[in-house]
Amino acid sequence: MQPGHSSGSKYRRDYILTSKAAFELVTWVDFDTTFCHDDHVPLWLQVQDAAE
Amino acid sequence: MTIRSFRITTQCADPRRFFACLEHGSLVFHLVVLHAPCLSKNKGYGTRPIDAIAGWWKETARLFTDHITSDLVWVFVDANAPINQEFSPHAGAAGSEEPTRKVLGEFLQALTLFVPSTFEHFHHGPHATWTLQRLQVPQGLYSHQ
Repeated sequence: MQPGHSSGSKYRRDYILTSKAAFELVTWVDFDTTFCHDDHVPLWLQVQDAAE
Repeated sequence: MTIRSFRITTQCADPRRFFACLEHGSLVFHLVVLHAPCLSKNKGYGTRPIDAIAGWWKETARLFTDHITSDLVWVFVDANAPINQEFSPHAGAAGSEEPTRKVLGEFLQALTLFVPSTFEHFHHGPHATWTLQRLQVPQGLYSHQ
């Protein structure tokens, strides 16, 4: 166990929500497990589109 | 293009909600940050009976209606609630947890929002985002009488 990290049961409680148009741009979702945190894991989401 | 390229407007802010609009020419999108109240905190700060929690989600949906003007919206939320494929197509089966209440799913349906991390073709890695903190009491604090 890393210092400063909690050790109890794990659940999914954090989300990135998107509108339908934004959902269609999503290419990747993961969590940033390298970030120093207490009990919540930061989420990140990659989107891709071309500007006209 | 970087974040400095955008005109950023704070549309709404309170201790649990933040709505921002970002504009660059014809490109307009919204970023929303939410921290939903938690039912399990049943005493002291954070006391929220289920009706109050449902009211919070309903009021948040009203704020969406008032402030969201673009089709492009990203919402970053500590929902304090599980979700599963019961609310398909808004949420998928990946990493599903049985919801005990429907407030989050109903919020997704009402606003036509989607949860990419619940779909296997988007999400990689583990699904858990939150760890229940164990209360550890030092042995010296126990009283043996």
